[in-house]
Amino acid sequence: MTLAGRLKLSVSLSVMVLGVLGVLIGYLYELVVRGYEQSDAYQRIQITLSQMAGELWQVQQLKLLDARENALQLSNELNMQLRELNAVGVNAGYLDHLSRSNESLRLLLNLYPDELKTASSERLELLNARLNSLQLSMQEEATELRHRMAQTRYGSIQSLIISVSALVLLTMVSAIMFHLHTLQLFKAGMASLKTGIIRAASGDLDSRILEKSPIPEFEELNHQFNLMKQELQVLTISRDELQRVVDSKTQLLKQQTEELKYEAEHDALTGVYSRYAFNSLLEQTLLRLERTGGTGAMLFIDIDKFKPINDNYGHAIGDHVLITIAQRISHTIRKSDMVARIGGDEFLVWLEPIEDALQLNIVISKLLTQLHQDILFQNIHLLIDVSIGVSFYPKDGTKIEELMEIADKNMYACKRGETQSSSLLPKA
Amino acid sequence: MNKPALSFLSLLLLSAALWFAGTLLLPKSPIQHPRLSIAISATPLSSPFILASQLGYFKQHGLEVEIKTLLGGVRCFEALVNEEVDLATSSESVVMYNAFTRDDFSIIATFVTSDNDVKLITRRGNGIKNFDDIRQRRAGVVQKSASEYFLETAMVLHGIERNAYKIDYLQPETIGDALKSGRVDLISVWEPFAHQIRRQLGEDAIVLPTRGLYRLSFNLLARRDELPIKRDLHIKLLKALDDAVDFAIREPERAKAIVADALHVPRDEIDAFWPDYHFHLTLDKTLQLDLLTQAKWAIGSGYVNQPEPPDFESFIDETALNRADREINAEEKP
Repeated sequence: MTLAGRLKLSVSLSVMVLGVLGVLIGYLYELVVRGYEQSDAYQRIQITLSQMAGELWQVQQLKLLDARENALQLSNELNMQLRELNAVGVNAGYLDHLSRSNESLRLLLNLYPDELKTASSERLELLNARLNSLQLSMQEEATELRHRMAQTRYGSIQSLIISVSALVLLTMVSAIMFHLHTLQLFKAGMASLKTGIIRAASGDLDSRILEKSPIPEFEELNHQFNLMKQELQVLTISRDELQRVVDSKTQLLKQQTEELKYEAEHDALTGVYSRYAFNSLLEQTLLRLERTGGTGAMLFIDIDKFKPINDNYGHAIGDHVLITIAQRISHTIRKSDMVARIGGDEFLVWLEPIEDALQLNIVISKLLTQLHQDILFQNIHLLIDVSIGVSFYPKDGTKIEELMEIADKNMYACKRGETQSSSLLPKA
Repeated sequence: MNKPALSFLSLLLLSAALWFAGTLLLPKSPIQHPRLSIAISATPLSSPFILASQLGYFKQHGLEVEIKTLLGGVRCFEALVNEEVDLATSSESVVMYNAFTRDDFSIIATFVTSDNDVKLITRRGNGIKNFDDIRQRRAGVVQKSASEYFLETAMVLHGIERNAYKIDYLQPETIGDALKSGRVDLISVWEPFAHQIRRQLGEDAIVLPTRGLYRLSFNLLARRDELPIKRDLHIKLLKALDDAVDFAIREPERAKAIVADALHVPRDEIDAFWPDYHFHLTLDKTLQLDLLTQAKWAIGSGYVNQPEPPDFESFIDETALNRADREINAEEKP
């Protein structure tokens, strides 16, 4: 049964019990009123009987015929009073005998001869005896009537009290049990739902609460709750999926950015720094050196007679030569140094720190040793020669352009044979 | 609230409800049932005893009662004085005659009266329409019985002298035949013979209107020496009889069915007498007065040797009835 149904039933039952109690109280009221009416009617009968006794005494003792007439009239009244008592609810069975005795009384009174004073004494004696006996009977019957009336009234009140008590007790016990049962079901339903909500609040979207409940409202609520959790679960899964996609895309973008950055900063063929990156890095370096008062040197390296190699052996060999030269430069210099390709066969090297010319000579010698080695490509041995120009920081300049210009100039001087590459030292 | 607590509470409330209902509805069961034996006449006049026994009222009042059904009040009286039973029922005539010769018994209650038990029956062809027509006629009566007493008092009450009509003494079993054969013109006979004769005669029967001229009573008698010893039992018995009387008045149809069944009497017979019976528990001056009137008649008729009637007051013991009455009244006014 639904919770609403249970409450409605409870209200209906209460109304019904109220109605029955109302009827019973009404019945009790009527019983009390009837009791008064019956007592009143009974008292009038007693009065009539007393009056009759007086009249009968006069008949017997004073032999008055008028008294006989009066007694007959009282007998009529008694009959009416008995009917009244019956009308106010006294069982006819209880009145029957008094009524019959009253009839016998009339019969006997009529047997009294009209000539009372001259009638035979035996007859009068017997009539008197019978009349006395009947009178006593009537008094006794009236007493019995009172007894039966009281018994009936007591019986009615007793059954009424039993009915009311039983009704109140049984309905109250039933109502208490019914309400306790409802409370128990409600609590059980609420507990299940509360557990579900607490679990959901703590992030558990996988579990489900038991939908079945003796109260249909809870069953519906549990069902909707489980549906809500299911929806939430689907939404959460979508969000996670989206996050993963975003992360992956971000990673890809980052990778691509880094690749682009790398491509922008590095020479596509040789993998050494591009001119742009070299300039940018060197700019930072020069600012730092300016602040710290450090020293550095720039080498301008140009491959001699590179064009004929390209022309005679093709670009593949040319490219191989450039890659090999770049690798050899990179392997020779320190990790803190930088190398960049700035033109077809031109490389820039930044060395830092360089304490003096001697240290630079050692580096250039090592470079020349490495760069002058044969380059083997598809069974072709090539002997490469390079021209190197140098500029010092801060002696030759503090700006990139100044340093490059000096190094470039020195490199051409070397190329023209004015200086040997290996010993082409700045005019220190 | 947890389940065991709920079950416990429910059980408690249910037990309380059952206990309450039990105390209100169920009669209190007696611890022991003292025994009483009673000789009753096999007539519907004994209805209160039959009903109390059949409906279990004796047991409800804590009594075990053994009912002995005998034919007629005389036999019941003999069973009492011979100590075969504790109590007996009989009409006031039996009491009246026996009171002349013995004083070892007492009347403890009257439980039924009838103002129409003895009837005067004649035949249509006899030309008797009222009491005056009985003059010079022959009437059949049962000697020394209510039959004779009734006829004589009825005649006197109507102002007809004893020598104005003739009397034949007959037996109750043959009195009907005497009327049919024309040996007598009128009979005075009590129930159930009156009913049987009327049935035999059918339309030919005429019953003179005599209701209220005589009151027959059936009384409960005990041995006088046992009265103080058995008074408590008598009180219980009287209370059970009061319940039976109330039932007879409230539920006449059921009561008649029970009595007809118990006595094996045709239902129409019971229906015929029932309206005349006044079941009630009493012991008033009426009985004394009736006994005295009958005793005077018996003396006058020469049926007894004593010249004076006995002191009937000493034969009536109201103690048990008064106490039963007080207890019933106390129960009615809780």
